Amino acid sequence: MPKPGDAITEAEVTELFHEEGGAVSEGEPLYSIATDKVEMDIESPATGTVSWKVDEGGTYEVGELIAVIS
Amino acid sequence: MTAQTGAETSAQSPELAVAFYRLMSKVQHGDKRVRKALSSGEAAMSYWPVDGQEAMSAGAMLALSDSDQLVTTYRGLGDVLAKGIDLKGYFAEILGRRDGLSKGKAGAMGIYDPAHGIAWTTGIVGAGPLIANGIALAAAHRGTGQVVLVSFGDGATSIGYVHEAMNMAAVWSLPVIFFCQNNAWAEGTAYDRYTRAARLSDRAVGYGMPGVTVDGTDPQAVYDAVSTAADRARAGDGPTFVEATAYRLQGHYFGDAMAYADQDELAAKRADPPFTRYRARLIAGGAATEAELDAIDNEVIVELDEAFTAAAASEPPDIDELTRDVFSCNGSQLAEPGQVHATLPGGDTEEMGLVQAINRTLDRAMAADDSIVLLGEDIGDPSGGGMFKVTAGLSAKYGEGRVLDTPIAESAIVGAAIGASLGGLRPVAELMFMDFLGVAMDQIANHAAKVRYMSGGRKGAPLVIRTMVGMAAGPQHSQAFEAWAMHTPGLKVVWPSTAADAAGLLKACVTDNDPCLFVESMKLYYGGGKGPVPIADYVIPLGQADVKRQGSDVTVVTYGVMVHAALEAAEKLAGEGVSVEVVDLRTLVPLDLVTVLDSVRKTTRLVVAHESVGFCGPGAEIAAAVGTELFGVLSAPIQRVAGTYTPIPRAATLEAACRPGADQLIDAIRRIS
Repeated sequence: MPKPGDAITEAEVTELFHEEGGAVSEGEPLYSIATDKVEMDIESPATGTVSWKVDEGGTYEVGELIAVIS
Repeated sequence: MTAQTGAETSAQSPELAVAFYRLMSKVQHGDKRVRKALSSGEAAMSYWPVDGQEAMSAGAMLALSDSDQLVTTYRGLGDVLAKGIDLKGYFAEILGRRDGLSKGKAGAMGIYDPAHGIAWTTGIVGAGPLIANGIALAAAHRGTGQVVLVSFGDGATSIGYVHEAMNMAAVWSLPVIFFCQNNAWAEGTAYDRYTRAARLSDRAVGYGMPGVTVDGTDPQAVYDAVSTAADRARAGDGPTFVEATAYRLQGHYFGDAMAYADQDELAAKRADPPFTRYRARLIAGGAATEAELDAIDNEVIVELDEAFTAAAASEPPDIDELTRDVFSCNGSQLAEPGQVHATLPGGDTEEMGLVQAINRTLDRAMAADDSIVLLGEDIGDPSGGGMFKVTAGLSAKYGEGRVLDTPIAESAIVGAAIGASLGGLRPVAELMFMDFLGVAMDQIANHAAKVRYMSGGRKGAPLVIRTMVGMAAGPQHSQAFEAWAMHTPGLKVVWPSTAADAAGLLKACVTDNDPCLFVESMKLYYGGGKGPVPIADYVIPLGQADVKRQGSDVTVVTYGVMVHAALEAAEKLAGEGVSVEVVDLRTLVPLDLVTVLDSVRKTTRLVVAHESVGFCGPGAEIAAAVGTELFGVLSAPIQRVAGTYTPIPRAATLEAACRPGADQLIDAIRRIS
């Protein structure tokens, strides 16, 4: 979970844009998060096959593993 | 005044066009690399993207020579990458790691890499132009031929500092380029919601300098405008305001989704980013092939990625770094114990007040060191030689190039002093009344005091700010704010009580490597502080209190005007058989606590006294320190004698009641002896 602001310690994963096991490319929107302060799409940092470690609608702490792209 | 917008300028040569592309690629991919690290969780920090502003940085930096200087802002990734910063040191700095340029102490808001022309960075909107003036002043003074480009956002044009800076640069014809990167947003507020100005560059006319607005998505247009400005500056013709317009394609910070933007407009801008557009132009125009540009991108991406990966692998700084680099030699707020206290030289003396003693010290220091320059309002002889004649005769003797009359603009005075100190000079700035400290406080507290720490100890700001505590002038011209300065890590604070001390202490300040606030009491300027001053030259090192009168029953710790009240009280009480020791602190930071403790250990009783407000004043700190160290030794509660918790009133009767004197000291001493 990225840190989208100085005071943010946790955020909700609002949408996963790819199916489990789907192909993703670096730079395309991967999932979206929301806090009281921000709502934003997070770009994929890599190209590969995505394996999700979180659920849509769940709230996770900054630093939590969201997905593995291999 | 000229303005060019809209029309695409064609590159002078394919080589230059490709050079623009290389720098734009570096900025584009550098910004992406950082945002990727933030998205993936590899890094967590505040970051201010520059996506869409590549051509501004590339065009501007390529128009400068390597030795020209850049002052930029927290949104400075594009500028510093294009200027040629040490990449690993930069990335490690923004990540807060020990391999950072400043050991991770400053972050993106304090990037300093003078070897690559990056002279300073500030996190305070609009503060950079004030400092750029001083760097330019030093360059002109030393004849280096350097130009200073100061980069700031469009939002910064709303702040008064930028006005002060542009006016001062124009009046002194400084080699500065005011480079406004208008990205259409003041953080989250759209341009037309904070200004009625059609073009920001129109403001230049008000300062008598050229102003130009160019397409900030076209590197050639930016290059041409900055080149013209640089030529003008180098020729000694003064500053130029260059506004480059573009559109910030990402949020104010990473995590800001720009919900405040018109979403259709934002989508359209993102669909046609300046970097991609310029790339297509080069290919279509035959300046480069797709393969050639791909090769540049790949080279740049590898270079950036290697640097970022190495920076991310760097460890955080050790905890013992915390207290290093506040002062030179890793000094702290307390003076080093075990110092041998200086004594005044023997030989002939002359009778003088503070005004003459300070004038003599400045005169001798300027004769000995060409790098000392004076800045202040009315300080030159054509303007009267100073409101209180402290600097009388100095501009006649050393020239107006070294005794600079300034506009009435305290932030610009202190900012220019900071920049000049970064540029190798030793400026002495005058703030006519201490009440004006607040007017310049951002430059004092956020900049002067933090240069050493934010540079990771690589650079200090060796400057002196002389200021005066007035009297009989009411609530806004009679105050003492030494507690503000003492509460600001990185500032040394000095307050002499005699003309002889003033000469020796000021001499120490003008050779010190840290910023010093030198406080002068109006009451001591003429008759009040008059006394013998040795004719020989001497230094009173900072951090050495002076026992002005020996005693055995009660210690009075004080400074400035109150030293004289304490001596008067001691004399009166001697007749009653009470022996009072008077400790004159002389330097408040670094504080000579050792001398205070030694005295109280002997007398076992303490009165702390100062003119300024007692509540949360310096006396509270000293009382707490002595109470902690000597709790078992004290034979009576520590007493404080200080100013009332009120503004200084105009009415003489009320002012007399507000400021403590010998009578209040006598009462306090009697209470505990």
